[in-house]
Parts: sequence; C-alpha cells; structure tokens
Amino acid sequence: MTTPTRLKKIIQLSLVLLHLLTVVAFLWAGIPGDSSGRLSEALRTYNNLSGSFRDYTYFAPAVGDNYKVAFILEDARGQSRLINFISDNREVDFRYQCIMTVGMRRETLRDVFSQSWAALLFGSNPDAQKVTVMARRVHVPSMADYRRGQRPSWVTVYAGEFARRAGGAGENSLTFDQVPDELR
Amino acid sequence: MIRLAFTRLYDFLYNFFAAPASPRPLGFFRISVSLLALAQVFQLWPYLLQLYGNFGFVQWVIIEADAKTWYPSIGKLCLALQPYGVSSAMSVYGVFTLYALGLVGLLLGWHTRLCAVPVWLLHSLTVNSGFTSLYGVDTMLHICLFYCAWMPVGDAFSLDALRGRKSSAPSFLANLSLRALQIHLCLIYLNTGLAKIRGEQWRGGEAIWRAMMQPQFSVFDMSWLAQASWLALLMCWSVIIVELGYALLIWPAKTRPLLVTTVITLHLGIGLFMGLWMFSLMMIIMNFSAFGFNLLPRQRHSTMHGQQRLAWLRHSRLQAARLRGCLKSHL
Repeated sequence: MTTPTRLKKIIQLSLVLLHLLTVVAFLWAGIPGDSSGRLSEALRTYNNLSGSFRDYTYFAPAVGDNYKVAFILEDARGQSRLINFISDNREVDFRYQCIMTVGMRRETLRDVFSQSWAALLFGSNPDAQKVTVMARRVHVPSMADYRRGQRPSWVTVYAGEFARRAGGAGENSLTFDQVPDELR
Repeated sequence: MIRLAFTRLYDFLYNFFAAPASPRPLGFFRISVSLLALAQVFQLWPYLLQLYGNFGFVQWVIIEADAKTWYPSIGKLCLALQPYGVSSAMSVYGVFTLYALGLVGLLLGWHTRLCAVPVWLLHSLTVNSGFTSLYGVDTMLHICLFYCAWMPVGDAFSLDALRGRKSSAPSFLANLSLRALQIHLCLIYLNTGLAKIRGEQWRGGEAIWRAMMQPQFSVFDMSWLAQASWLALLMCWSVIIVELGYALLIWPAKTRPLLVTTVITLHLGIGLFMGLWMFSLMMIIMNFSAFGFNLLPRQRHSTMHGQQRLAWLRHSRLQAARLRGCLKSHL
C-alpha cells in the first residue's frame, strides 16, 4: 500500500520530471512552437511562466552584430540636436542594445520600432517638431582581415524622419493596425 | 541479470532523487537570487518607464501584438485596473514596488512562500512587458524565481527557520529541488554547447574575437587578439569543451570541484572581459547553489549525518528488499 507521504513524494517527483521534460521538449523538439490548440497554448504559457522562453544559446551559433541608433531632434526654429541611444548605466545600455537589435535586425520591423522611439522622444522633448532616426550596424572584420588592415566599420541600415502630430505623447503612439503581421 | 540491473537502477534513482538533503544550498540560492534581483531593480528604477512603460521605447501596442497566447503583462494588468483610475505609469511603478518589497521578504525568508510566489508572478509581468529589452540575466532570473516559488528555499538561513516555522533538517523536497536545479543547469550548458559547436565562428575561433570587438561588450582593447588567433581558437574550443562536458563531468565527485571552479572562472571571465556582470553573477549563483555549496568543507557531511544516514540506508535497503520480493513473485 502507498502511504500518503509516499504518494506525495511520487507526485512531487513526477511534477519535477514533467517540468524538466517541458524544458527538454522546448529546447530540442521545439515544442510547442507556433502550433495552435489549447494544449499548445497551455504549454506556451507554462514555458513563459517557468522561464523556458529563450533557448540559452547565447552568442551561438554565431555572434551577431551590434547596432547603434541616434536621434536628430529638430525644433520649430529649425535648430537641431543629436541624442544617442546609449546609457552610462551598463545594465541599462545592454537593454537598449537588445531593443535596437530587435528593432533593426529585420527590415520589416524597422519602421514600427523607429516610430515607437520617435514617439518617446516627442513625449520627453515637447519642443521637438521632427525626429530623425538613424541606425547603423557595426561590421567586425575577421581576424585575418584585421591583420590585413581592415578595421571595424559602421554601415547605415536605416534612416527615417518622423513629424509630431497634434497633441501630446499619446497622440504619437502607435495603433494596432500599424504593427506588422509578424509581431502578431 | 535483468533483475539485478533493475534493482541497481532502482537503488540509484531512489538515492539520486529521494535521499534527504540539507536545504542550506537552497537558502543560499534564495538569498543571493534576491540580492541580485534587488540590485537589478535599483539599477533600472530610473529607467522603468522607458523600458516597461506604455510610451517607453517599445510601446505596449508592439509588445501586446502577439495574440496567440495569453501571457500576463503590465499592459494587461493596467487594462484591468484602468476603470479604477490607475494609469500606465502607476501600473509600472506599482508592479516594481511590490516586486521589490516581495524580494525583501524573500531575502529575509519572512513568510518565504508567501513572498516567493508573488515575486515570481510579478517578474512574469515585467518579463512580458519588457520582452524586447531582455537578455540572459532576465531569463535565468525568471527560472530562479520560478524555482524559489515551489522549492523549500525558506527552510534554511531564514526568519521562518529562526522562528521555528520551518525546519532546516535534511528533506526529500530539498534534495528533489537541488536535483531539478542541477539537471536544468546541465540542460542549459548542453544546449549552449551544442549550439556553439554547430557554429562556424566557434569552431574557427572567430566568435571570441567578434564578441570582444563588439562595441557593446568592449571593456578592454582586445584588438591584439587578431595577432594571436591561436589564443582565440583555444578559448573558443575551451568554452565548447567545458559546456559540452559539463553535463557529464559535473556529477562524479572527483571531477565536480574542477568543473565548478572552471565554470565559475569562465563566468568571471565573461564579467571581466565583456562587462556582463549581472549575467555572470547569476550563473555563478546557480552553479554554486546547485553544485558548489555542498563542496564547502563544513557542508560536506551536512546533507545526512550519523543516525539519519544510518536510518536512511536501512530504509533504502528495506525498500529494495521489498521490490526484490515483488519481482520474485512476478517472474
């Protein structure tokens, strides 16, 4: 006969094994992926809550390129100033870099992310009438090319100009129909 | 023959998963994870609206665009609280204030479970609202907070234990929790090791060079590495070997101290040369809690000692004998 304590242990062990199984399924079988259905949705939500939403393959299989974004703000008198999308706080800067990479890596997403950044700048700079978003990607040469004299260089990947709409920051917010399908 | 193999396997699995273990490594895990999470909140506090707010760098309309799955987020919470006059900024600050307060409770081990579950859920909200700004430390922190929510992390080094609400005696659940953390770490390193060995940059030694030369991770001028490409190649393969070997070599008692030291050194290197200190500390905490803590001289025999160990072995043998009896009657 199984005592209640033993049954409790068996249940606890089963839950742990099941949890680890969801991690394995997520990492190596791509389960649940994008499939639809209640079970897949439940599994996706469980993975999200348990931390299995990224596959831990940092810097692998390849190290991606960095992006650098800068904003040119222009006021009603035509005077402009430059704001770099950087932070002195390294922890915050890593996060800025992640946002820049997500926003600029795919061409189809660049406009919507730039618009979102421009809206924030309009909100925090009431005098700005126009915001130009400029994005560049660094190209790091291979070690052999570096020895031959090549140096890291920046390639412009995006430039977009945004004008203020009437009203405050909220007026410059995006609407759902402006978001590309691939984000939905 | 089959019967013997089955019995041995049963004994091994029973000992592996069910032998009572000290909750002290979990107490250390709770304290260090809470401290790191609090340090993170402290650093991010002035930037919360930029990173998580409705009109931050990534507006909620983008974050919330994925309609496939229901994920809890600050945006959804704000939508629910809007009828009561709660603004988006108030929602962001409210979530982070409660999260920080919960972390203080978790750190002290004061009503640990009561603090751990809300902290984990609140972190879920922040993760889903700042999805585009997340990096490794957030993923690992979320895994740790998820584990804190159900593991007996408050059984040691806590106010709960001090007040007698929890027992610091070795327990089945403490062992099971440590095993879960240990196996999860093995999966993490195995997966990243496999991904690296598939990458041409890693096999050819370029990955370390490229990572060090990215402005984002540049702490020292590492351009001299181009003149010593053999060193970059050696570093890349060392990382691959350590990560792939981790899942195997971390278990034997003879190789465990070496592996723990190597992995901690690897993460210290990442912190020092790439500036990823929070991520490195997170990984060191996970490794030390799972495998390193019990290597400390005073902890070696704390898992089970004296009478407890004897009683456990007797019980174990009794179970095995019972199983053998069962098998005999069936075969």
